[in-house]
Amino acid sequence: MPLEDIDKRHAHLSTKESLKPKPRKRGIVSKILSFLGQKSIDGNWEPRAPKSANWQSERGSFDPELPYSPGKPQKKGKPVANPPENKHPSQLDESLSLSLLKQFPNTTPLDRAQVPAFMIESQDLIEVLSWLKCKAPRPFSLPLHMSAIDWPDKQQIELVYELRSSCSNARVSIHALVPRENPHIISSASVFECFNWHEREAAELFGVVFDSHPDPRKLLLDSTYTGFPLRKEYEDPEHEFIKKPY
Amino acid sequence: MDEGQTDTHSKAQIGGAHAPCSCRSLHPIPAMIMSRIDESTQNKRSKIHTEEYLVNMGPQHPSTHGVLRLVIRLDGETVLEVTPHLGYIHRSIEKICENETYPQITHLTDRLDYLSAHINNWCWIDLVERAIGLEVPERAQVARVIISELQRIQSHLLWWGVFGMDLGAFTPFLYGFRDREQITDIFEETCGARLTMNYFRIGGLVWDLHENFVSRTKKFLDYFPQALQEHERLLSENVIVQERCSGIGVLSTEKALAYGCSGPVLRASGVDYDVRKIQPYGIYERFDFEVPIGTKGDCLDRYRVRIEEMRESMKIIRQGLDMLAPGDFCALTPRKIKLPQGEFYSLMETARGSFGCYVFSDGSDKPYRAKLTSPGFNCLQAINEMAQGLKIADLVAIISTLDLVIPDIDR
Repeated sequence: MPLEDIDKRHAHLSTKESLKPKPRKRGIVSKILSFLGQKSIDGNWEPRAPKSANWQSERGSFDPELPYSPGKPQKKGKPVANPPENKHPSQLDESLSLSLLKQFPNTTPLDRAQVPAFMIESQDLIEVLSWLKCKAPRPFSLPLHMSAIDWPDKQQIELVYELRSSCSNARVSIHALVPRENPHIISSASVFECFNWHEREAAELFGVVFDSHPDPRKLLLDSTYTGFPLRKEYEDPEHEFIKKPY
Repeated sequence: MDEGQTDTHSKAQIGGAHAPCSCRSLHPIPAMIMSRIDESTQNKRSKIHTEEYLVNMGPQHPSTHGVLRLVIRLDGETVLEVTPHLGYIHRSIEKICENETYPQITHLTDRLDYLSAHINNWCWIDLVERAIGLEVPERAQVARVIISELQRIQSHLLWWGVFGMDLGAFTPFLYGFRDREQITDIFEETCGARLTMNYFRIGGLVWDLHENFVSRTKKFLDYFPQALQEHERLLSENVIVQERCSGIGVLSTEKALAYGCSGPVLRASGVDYDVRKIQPYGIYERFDFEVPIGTKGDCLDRYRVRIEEMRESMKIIRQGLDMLAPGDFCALTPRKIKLPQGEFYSLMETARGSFGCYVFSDGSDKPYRAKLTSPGFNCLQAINEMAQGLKIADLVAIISTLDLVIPDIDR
């Protein structure tokens, strides 16, 4: 489309009054007057209009306590009460799920994620990852990341491996649990080179030990640093300072 | 007497306990890399005792674009191994996220890849919006796409200028910044910031687009194709650039996939992977654009992919301006945003590749665990693969075409 047409189409933007920023009343007098029920200093005195009975439903049905919008309140914004409708769903692949469960019977599918997720036994890790990389019905050849979650209550650390397919929007996440006291798992850098640095990061931040890792040094932290910052018991000293500034 | 003299001489040459080059017990050079080293070097090695040495490139080297430190093992001028050392600006953003509410985290994401600040903000916001099921008004959706694509052009222009400077030409830097300045001015007028934007909000935008936004963007679109032509004349057709880039730093398709590369690096290696096409977010499925793909995976392909991406971004912006209609810019959002229990994920195509946010929520207003996946982190891992057997000057070209932003890698 030629740019002149775009010009015509947006001519209203500079003229329309409603889109221009309106001056805000900030003076103490106007605040007091508006509290008393007056609309503006110049206008006539009017009692404040009583709230309609269904004012809450007019503003939306979610969170009745404090409806809030940044900027001026809008009419057309639709807050939806019942969420998880994933906008770009990577549907749970039935064939993948079936064949993975057939191949590795100890695997359990997880339903907490928006993508196909499986909890595997930690000793099966290399076999599962290489099966997904090469032999799965739709191979997942593009690794995305590897990270960990700390569960102090269960005394476990959960490792999450995210893989993608390089030609479709299919994704899979593989979860494995290791004990928190002695977290050992085999390194997956031999299957995906990508996980080399991700594992070094998880090792220094969570204290997970990756056996037979090609380069088990610290990556982001100083080599003399002790402690595992992303474990839950680690307190951010700076955050403590912000909480008590005096 | 003579023998004694030669003994001391050879000791000094070898350097005491260090092993000479001929018996590399620690790190043997793979046969594949040996074949890359040209014959003359090999002949020299057989006659003269040479010795490997380590060179620190960075953390203050001008071509490392920040505080990246590369430890290079060299034989003469030939690179045998590159080891990146990270963490100079590690700010532990993932730990900070655990103590902040969801809207507060938005401004942390533009501190990662400051050249794709808008897109990083959008990625985080998209995660929250999809988790709580918030519908974003049409005007905000279109504005987000236009602004993201402007951001992509702006980032690529900076890369283009710096690429020229890395190769030893100062002029492109000035031309790149001249054009980038126009986009930065548009952003400054719209959201008040030039680098760390924080303009997108959960539910829409912080305020409506500035009244000059459309006219200034159109003015830029009128101006920029001609400027891009000028850029192409300046660098793309330059013999020195062609010589220094073609066939240098080749990353094969298999290796690019195994290292988890994304963005222009992956596409230059011949993989048709663009999150905007494969898993369209926002309203990208309504736009008509193409994804440039390289064939060889060398530095020149990465250069060409980025230049073509700027043209495609212009196409998207033209369509976006066509769609932009008056309306709401932000939806009603609850004051206290709580995500339901579970895992949430969002993935977006920034100027550098796939930026991903992963959140495990326990149902409160703060994430239990947040993981931010940056594109540069994966791409930088592949640098050893690309640079082995080449010269130091080629390594500079490789770093430049990877388009690294160090805060994005260190987080």
